[in-house]
Amino acid sequence: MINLKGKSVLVTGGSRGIGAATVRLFAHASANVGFAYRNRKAEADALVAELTALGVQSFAFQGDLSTRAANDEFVAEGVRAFSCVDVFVGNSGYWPPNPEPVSNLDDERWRSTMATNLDGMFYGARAAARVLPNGGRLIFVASTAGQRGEAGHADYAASKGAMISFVKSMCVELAARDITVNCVAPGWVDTEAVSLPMSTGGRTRIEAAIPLLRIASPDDIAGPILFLASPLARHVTGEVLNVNGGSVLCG
Amino acid sequence: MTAPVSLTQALLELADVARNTAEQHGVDIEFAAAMITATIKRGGTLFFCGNGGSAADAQHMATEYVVRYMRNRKAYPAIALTTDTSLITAAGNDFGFEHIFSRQVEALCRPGDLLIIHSTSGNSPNVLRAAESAREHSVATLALSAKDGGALKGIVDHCIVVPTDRTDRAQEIHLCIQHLICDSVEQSLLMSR
Repeated sequence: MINLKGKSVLVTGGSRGIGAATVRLFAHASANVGFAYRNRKAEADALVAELTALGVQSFAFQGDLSTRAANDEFVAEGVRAFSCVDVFVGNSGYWPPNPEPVSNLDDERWRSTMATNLDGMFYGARAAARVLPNGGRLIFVASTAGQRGEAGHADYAASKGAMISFVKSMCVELAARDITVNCVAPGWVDTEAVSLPMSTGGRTRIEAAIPLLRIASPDDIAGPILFLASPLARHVTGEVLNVNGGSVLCG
Repeated sequence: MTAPVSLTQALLELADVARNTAEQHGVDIEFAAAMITATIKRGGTLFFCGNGGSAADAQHMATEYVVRYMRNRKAYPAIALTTDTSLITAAGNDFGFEHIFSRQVEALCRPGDLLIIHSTSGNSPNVLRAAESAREHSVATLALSAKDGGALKGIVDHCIVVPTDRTDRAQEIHLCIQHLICDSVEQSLLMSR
């Protein structure tokens, strides 16, 4: 039903997990897709080959997306490759797996989380806003933690809470250009990033705490992202679309 | 009496400025090209402004986009805000010289357009007012400046600050950068047809 043929999409953190699922789904919707990744060259190359086989244009960009330069380069590469960027998905982020109370949280982890999750979001959003056409879309991947907090992960929760406020601020700024700015807020998602808490019986306990009694797959998150990028969502802006099986209701 | 400057030495100094610009602002220049490409692709118009030699640069570059640069292709929409003497003298006479560009920005620029400002000082009141007017009307802004970028650096969306205190060298590098960008824009847009 959703066809984005002729549209160009950029996704950060696109080589695996939610990002890779999002890249694939946009390609299946016939959009041209460029994605950025940090380290996983083999996965990135394989994904580009997959997209090429689907008949869409694509490219992979390697860089540290917590920096201004990498975000500017990534967006510039998108414009060079596709001549425009219609949709920007800010997905790159990091959830430090080890729980630490704030009293024990060291400076290095705090700054690292903020650089990856918050600086990267800002630099990506700013670069994208400078090239998006009227009617463009900005979509970020926030979190349940950004709304109800997450004990032991205050750094992560704070970064995602800031993202939500950022989205609600930016959507008004860009409304005159008919650009929408939204975020999806996943809870637990079955990705490599959460392998530690999922191990040793953790999965069963986590599933039991989710009202829908299952952990989301990356595809479960990619679908709502595609929806927000589609004409179906043209009047939705400044929104937090929860995709967490009802978890946010239980916080 | 000081010895005349060696012309060869002056050219080498210009090359040094070009090298420093490339090393310090390569990404900024690539990004500026992306802003211009995206503007044309989305149907927006490029507006150029500047004073003196920078006004000449503004007209020069608008011409490259409308007519042609390296390739025969369709015309790209670009307008220099420095050419209508009736309008400029009326706005200068009636409102003040600082309004000669901002009045045109208010009248002509729309969201989706891009205002490109050439200013080596970054402090000329008329270009600052133009940038402010663009912001008020949700028009994106790109500046080419020098020295410390002046006040302009803080109010435009994206600024390339050529690392030199010399106005003449800065203008030479500005035009070079604009030619390189125009070439890149032509290539990107022709590839995407």
